[in-house]
Amino acid sequence: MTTQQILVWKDTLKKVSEIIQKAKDSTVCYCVDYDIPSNIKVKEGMITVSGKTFVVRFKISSIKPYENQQGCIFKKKDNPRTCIEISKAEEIQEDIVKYEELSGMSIEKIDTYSILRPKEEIKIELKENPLDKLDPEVKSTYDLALKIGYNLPINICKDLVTVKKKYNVSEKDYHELIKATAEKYMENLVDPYEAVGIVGAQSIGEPGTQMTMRTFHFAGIAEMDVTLGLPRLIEIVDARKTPSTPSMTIYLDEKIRNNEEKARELASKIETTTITDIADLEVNTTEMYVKIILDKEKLKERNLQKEEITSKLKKMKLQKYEIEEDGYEIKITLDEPSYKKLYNLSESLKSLQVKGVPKIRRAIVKYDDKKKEWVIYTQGSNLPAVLEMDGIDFARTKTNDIMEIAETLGIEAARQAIIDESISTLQEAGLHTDTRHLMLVADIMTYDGTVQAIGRHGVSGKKASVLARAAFEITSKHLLNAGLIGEVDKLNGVAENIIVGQPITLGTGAVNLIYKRGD
Amino acid sequence: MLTADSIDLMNNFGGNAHMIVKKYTKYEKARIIGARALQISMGAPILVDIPKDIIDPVKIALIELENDAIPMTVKRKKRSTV
Repeated sequence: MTTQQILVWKDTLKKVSEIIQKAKDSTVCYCVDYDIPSNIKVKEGMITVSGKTFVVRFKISSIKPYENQQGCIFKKKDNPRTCIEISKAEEIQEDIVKYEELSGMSIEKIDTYSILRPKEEIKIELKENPLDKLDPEVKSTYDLALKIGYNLPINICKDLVTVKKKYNVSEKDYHELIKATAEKYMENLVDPYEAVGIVGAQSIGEPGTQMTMRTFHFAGIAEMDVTLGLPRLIEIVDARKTPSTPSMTIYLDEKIRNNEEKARELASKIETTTITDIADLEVNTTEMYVKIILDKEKLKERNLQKEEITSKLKKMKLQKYEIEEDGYEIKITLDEPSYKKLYNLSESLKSLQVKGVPKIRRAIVKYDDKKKEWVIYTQGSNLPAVLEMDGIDFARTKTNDIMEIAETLGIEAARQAIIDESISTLQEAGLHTDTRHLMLVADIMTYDGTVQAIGRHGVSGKKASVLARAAFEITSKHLLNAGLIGEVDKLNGVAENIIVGQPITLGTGAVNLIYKRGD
Repeated sequence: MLTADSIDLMNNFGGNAHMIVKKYTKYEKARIIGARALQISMGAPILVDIPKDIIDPVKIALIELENDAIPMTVKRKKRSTV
């Protein structure tokens, strides 16, 4: 138990950034509205914003009762009680549960302020600055640009370093190069209030008119259906729950990706087998039984044993039925004669899955020449189950079912999947659009944490303006409901302003002119 | 071609500095020229010397903007980074 005491309190993000900013140059005097007892000697302090994690750590040089001083930052304007001299503030990331009160009680959340001490010897980690992880050359380029006054994106800095090495640019010329690049970059940024929505829509729609409406078959040894072209783009943008041809691309672990045999073994493990694939079903209505006649050849083909089948059957809820085995024939008799039960039994038997990952109908192994490895392509998609299997590379395995990705890997992954899928759909048709337009569509579809469609069931149907929704689809319903409730349309968007006849809130209509008095 | 150098708004608004406008966006330029051209077409006095043969209000407004002579500027939103 250490006797190190730390003063902690809860504050707002705005004040925290103010403190960090000022503490860089000099000691800051921070006035709080708490009374801190004078017998407490604290040298260190921490601030929390959420109440559960600390974000800033600083050194305290002195604590004294409030006196009006120059250059004080106030926590709250009214009723300041104590002045805390803060020096050297740095951003950290630490959980509150690692600390306890001086009395020994552990603390879970901080609402006002407290004096704490660490429960045990802990090492506080500084918050990671992603800029520190960069190549030092790239970082120096970034810093140089920052000195001139431009915040250059990291990728551009990386490109500059590549050019510098390739053409042996001297230091002086390099400074000029950075400046010219930065200026060019700023010129090419999109203007504020530019109508990016409609520009993006046209940029995607125009190649759309050149895409086919038919779906192709995957030409090659493995005949797999994949939806291509316009229908696929419509599926993506409409956020359909399942695509019409779900498919996964499974990459294999380092150890087996160059081993064809193991790849095929894994593929057969994944592929689903149902009773109908390996047996014939005979339904006898006079004696009320269903007979499963197993095919030896097909069992051997799929690496299945008869015992696996019988154990699966027993696991099914067939306790009321009698199961008799006779070589390769399994007879299931009903206890009471009922056509309905017989029908239900035969239907459930037909779809009983005997082996493999559910929902995956076919798994095909192919050799990728470019990447020099064996890859499994499936018809059917079950990302959660496949990611957990041994032998697969879970970092690269992907599916074309966007809803599944959203559920398994999260919304940001789904956003990236939307972008990747739409780009590849356009590229397969030989068309090329700038990625930005598709990125905008993906952002709009995923901005609130779920994947929404663009149409009236999603983004467009959620607009605040009555007139915009009425102008989009189902005019009478929206207008009637709005009239009944007494809705107000604030005329903030584009469609409603056009209907009403005012200048729209984009482009020149968004400019506020003011008079400039020349003195 | 068109330039609008640093316009010091602090002097014009008595301490309530909004932003120092380094460069106008294309929409702002268009708006300013359009508003000024409308004023000129309705008889407002012209604030720079214009050769006698230029009579198009839009061209006159353009010349005024190049010479930084238009008494209008733009108020941007507080958080704008432009």
